Amino acid sequence: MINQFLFLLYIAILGVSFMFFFKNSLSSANLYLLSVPTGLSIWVFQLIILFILGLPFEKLFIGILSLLLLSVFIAIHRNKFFVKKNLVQIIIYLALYSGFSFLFLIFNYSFFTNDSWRMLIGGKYIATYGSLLDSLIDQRGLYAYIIHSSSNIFGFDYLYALYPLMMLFFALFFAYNLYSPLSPENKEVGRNILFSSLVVLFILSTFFVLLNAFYVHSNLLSGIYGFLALFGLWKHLVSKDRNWLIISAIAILSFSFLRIEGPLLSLIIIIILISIKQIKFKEKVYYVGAVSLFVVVWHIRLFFMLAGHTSKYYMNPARTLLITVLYTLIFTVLLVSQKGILNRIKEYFPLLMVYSLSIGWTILIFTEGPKTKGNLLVLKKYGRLILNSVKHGDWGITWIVLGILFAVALILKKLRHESLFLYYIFSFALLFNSIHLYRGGWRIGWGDSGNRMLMSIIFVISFYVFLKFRNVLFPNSLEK
Amino acid sequence: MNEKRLKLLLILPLLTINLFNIVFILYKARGTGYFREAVRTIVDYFMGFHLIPLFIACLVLLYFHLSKKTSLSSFLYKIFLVLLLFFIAINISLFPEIMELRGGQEKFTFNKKNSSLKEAILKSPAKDARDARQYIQMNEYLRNKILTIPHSSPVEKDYYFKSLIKPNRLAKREYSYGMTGKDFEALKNYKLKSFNAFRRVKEIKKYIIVDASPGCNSLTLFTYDNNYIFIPSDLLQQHPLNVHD
Repeated sequence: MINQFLFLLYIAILGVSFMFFFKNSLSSANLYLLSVPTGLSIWVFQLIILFILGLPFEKLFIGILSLLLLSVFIAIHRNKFFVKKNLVQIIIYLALYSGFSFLFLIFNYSFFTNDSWRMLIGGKYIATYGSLLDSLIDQRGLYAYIIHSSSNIFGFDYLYALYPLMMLFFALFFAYNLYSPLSPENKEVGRNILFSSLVVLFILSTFFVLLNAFYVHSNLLSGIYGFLALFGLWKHLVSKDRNWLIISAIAILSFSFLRIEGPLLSLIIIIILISIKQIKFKEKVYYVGAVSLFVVVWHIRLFFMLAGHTSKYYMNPARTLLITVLYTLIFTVLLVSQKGILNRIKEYFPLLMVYSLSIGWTILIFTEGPKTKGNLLVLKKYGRLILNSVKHGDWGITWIVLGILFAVALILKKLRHESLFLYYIFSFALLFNSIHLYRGGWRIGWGDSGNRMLMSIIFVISFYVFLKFRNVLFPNSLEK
Repeated sequence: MNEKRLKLLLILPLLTINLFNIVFILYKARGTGYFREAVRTIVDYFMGFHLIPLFIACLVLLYFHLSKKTSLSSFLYKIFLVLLLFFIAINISLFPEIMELRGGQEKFTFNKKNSSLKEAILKSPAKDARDARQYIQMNEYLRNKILTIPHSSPVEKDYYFKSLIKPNRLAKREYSYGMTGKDFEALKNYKLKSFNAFRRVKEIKKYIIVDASPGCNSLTLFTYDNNYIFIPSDLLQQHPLNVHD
């Protein structure tokens, strides 16, 4: 337990030391609340780099590298770190963080399914042998295995306290960013806080969301990083703070590596980013370039790993090549879209994306997807998606409420840069439908992967919906 | 043409395509009973005595808004809060039902703590051949702290492997998690391949998990009294049984 606590503490300190790059622009609350997801991502990506490049994946080497990384960040920020005010904040934050960590370490309600075992096995295998287990190469994103390699590297059973910790900090982050600063004359602070707290409570009262806080899987992390990727982009446009773009880039990288379909879903955000005129070309190049580089290099490596491999579960050499080509293409389009016809039509890229996805979905509907195991009844399974979101998927009343509120929110007063949310939500819905039609549809029950994938979008839809209602209910809000 | 009109022109065909797709899917998926069940569920959530306190609360708020002449946004804010509380209450009220339906399979409750990975493994059953292999690997890892390739792993003698087959019958419907009552009775019509399963099954209290898709001719039965796990016969053939009785 102590080893796991020390690992979690390391992640928090790494996160804080990294987030201090943004100390001058981000609020203290956002800085500390984002330290866990960013710290985790930075640690994971240093290991992903080791893994992709085939460098020694050994405990001692990783331990030294981890400490070195932390030392470098602290050294860079030593002037800010050891200022009295910042030091007090850090100590308070770490004290609270440690308290919650111990709580979740002692009260272990972690929950397993067969997928969880595969992640643990994959993680332990990587940590033991420095490679991926043959039977697991094509099943899920590398991120999930790397997280669980921490158990063997740092010497504990399995990483279970991370999930409730991530949920807690994310819930606070969500509530904080839904809270709106009011004009100085307005004294409705209490009501404002009550509103955002109840919204978070509503989301957490959803059984399936709460379950994912203890479920050893990638659903929760997908939801969090997917949200942060889009939120970072939106916040950058609203606040004109470039640092949010960096946070979005880290989040989208994590999102791409968490699930097999992650790179496809991340493309939605990338295409939206390319279309935005307010973001400088150089910033787009760094953002898209960094994401594309990681994704392409990993998928090329995966291509060679899968080449001699017999089990073709989700990924196969053709699909890795497809992802590689897509990301190379999107980066090329970005580079040439500075001039000419592409420059004139790039603001319509998201609309074209929605069109392509709609047409793709239509084709799949009329061909009933590929006939999976002779199953000609793929379209009939759509009813299961509805039934899962309403009853069997353990979502309670949440999707019904969000559906109604979403329809109402569409006609409420416009948000700044609202189109970001709408393009993402509709594109996600179309891609999600297409993926499942392609795979053969849904099955009843919470464990259905389509049902679990809804975790990737719930935070985005909730934030969008309640943000719009917030602006109606708090007309004196300084942020609209 | 101004930008707004252009965007509208572009969005309209999009809406048309997708609406058409949705209508087509609804048409194709008719008769499955899924939508009917979904609508019934939604109605159940909102109907009953739940609506009455909500209605009363809204009326009270309306009275105060009109009598004290508060602002519209203040009134809407209070209504919104009441609605949120109502939805939270419904969600929480569903917890016991959801946890009860889980039965022995993948049980998640707040009174079940895990103290170690070994305990978590022993509590969590394998559902199918893939699971069983992963499961075995985890057990072997715990024993030997090494990971072996699954195909050559011996079967743990703690588990029994059986399957039910009725060659000339096709599964008429999908059996999914948490089947009870008359559905369980229907299982008796299926012929057992090997004897132990059904006799023991009667001793299992309430929930039996069956995995089958319409059109297939085998059912795989899982039960969770920690002694019986049923998996498809392909694993049965690969590994010798070590049956206790």
